[in-house]
Amino acid sequence: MSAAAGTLADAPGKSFSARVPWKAVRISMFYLGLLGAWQLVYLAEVWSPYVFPGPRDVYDALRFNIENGDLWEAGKVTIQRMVIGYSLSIVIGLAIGVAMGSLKWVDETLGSLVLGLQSLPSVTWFPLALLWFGLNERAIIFVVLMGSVNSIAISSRTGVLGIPPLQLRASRMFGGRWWEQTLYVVLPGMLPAMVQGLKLGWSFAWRSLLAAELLFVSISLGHLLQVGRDLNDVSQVVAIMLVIVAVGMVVDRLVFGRLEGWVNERWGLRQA
Amino acid sequence: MTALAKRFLLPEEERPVTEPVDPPVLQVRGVSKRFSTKRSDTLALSNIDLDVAEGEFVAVVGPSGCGKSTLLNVVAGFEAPNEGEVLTSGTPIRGAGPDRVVVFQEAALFPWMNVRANIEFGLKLAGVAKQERRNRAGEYLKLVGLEAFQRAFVHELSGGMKQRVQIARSLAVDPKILLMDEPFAALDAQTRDVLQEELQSIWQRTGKTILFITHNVREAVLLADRVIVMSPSPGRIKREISITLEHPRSPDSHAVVDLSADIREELRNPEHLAEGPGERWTI
Repeated sequence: MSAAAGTLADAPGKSFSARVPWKAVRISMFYLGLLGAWQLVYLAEVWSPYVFPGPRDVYDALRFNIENGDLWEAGKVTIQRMVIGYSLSIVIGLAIGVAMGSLKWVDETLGSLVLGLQSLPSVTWFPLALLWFGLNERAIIFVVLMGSVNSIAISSRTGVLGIPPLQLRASRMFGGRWWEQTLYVVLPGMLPAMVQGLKLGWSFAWRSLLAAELLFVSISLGHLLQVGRDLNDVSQVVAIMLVIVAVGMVVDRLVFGRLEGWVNERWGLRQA
Repeated sequence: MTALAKRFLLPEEERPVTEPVDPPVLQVRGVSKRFSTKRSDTLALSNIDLDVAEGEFVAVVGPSGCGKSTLLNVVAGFEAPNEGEVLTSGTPIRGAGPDRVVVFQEAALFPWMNVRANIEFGLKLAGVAKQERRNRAGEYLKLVGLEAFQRAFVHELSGGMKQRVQIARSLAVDPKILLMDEPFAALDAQTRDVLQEELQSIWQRTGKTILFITHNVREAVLLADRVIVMSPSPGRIKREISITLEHPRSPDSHAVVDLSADIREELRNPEHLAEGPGERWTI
């Protein structure tokens, strides 16, 4: 009887351990542990609370910013700049990269310039942007564009070169107009080699934008960070930093995670 | 030469001369193709002449480096010849086009599309309306026996299934001539047998004109009405052999096996065939 019961109990037992989302458990344990350690260091008063805020202080600062509406307003402005800047960057970067990947002379000329300009940190475009456009949205979007367009262009070039030549031939022999070839074959064919580049471009754009916003006097996430510094409010500084990280992670998951999943599924690159 | 030899192996000068009313589906006229690099200068094709008539199944065989793939690339319009020209139904070709569609050896399907979308792709570029595309793709899915896999992604298919999809995708646009570039060379022996049999039956049902490149002599004899034997450096046509065996043929039939052996011998030793392989011909 016990043997029979054992086998019966075994199956649900296994499925129980399979049902537990171990990955989620590990991740939450890690962050809870981190939070606990933070609280302990805070309680130990190694540094003064004016320099090292506790979790509670940061939470209060975050709630304050949410309740007075500053965070939403700032977030909206920042996200909007990001969307405009990054979209422009994709359009321009794709055009440059596809040209580099398909035409040798463009690769030799413009390609070397694109690679060279990559060594320039994007914030260094800010003074120039201010002189060219003045203290306005165009200047800040220009900085976002310059920060990410290079990596998009370089990965588009890799993407074009990564399309198997037979696939291009196969598409060519069916005729159609150039834009049909581009839309149906070249752009999707580039994706596997481009996903990482798109992601990289996004994170470059995000960093450029926040660096520029620190120097920019109008409400935005970067500006809220600067205000925290000006008011000597370390809790606010940490709270906004956390928001910046959170936005980055959410976009990574929702946009790029899905894109990557789609590519892996279609191309059979990894077992999902 | 015996009568049987005459029937199966007609040397160039003895071929009956007939004036066709319509120009042949495919005419290759004096085509030469040279590949030059700093170090070498290769004449891949030397003065190739070849006509393919409506509904004919022509196979080109030869050892690697004999220019058979180059010939296909020139006919497909992927590469321009240095001399000569290619005509379809009397009109010179200009680059690649949907009247000459290629079934490649591998990796030519689009992985971001499922099987059905791959088959519909050529129709979409040809501007065929959506409903008509669905119907025609359905028809060709059925022809190659892949209805159950229409939503599968390319990487989920076996090698044989991928080649079936390529065949369906190519036939769907109703090309004047179907070009096949060693389409079964990368498949395992069993799958190859099955696909050869299916290609025979597809050809019989559709009456498509086919130019088939292969290094497998048995495959050429099994499938084609006419086998073009090429020899390397420079790549040129050595001999044409008409094969009048009834379709469908079996790869293990004596006729196919014996004739393949003779052609293989011909590829190895140019003198052998001239002596009359018909003596070994017993059917």
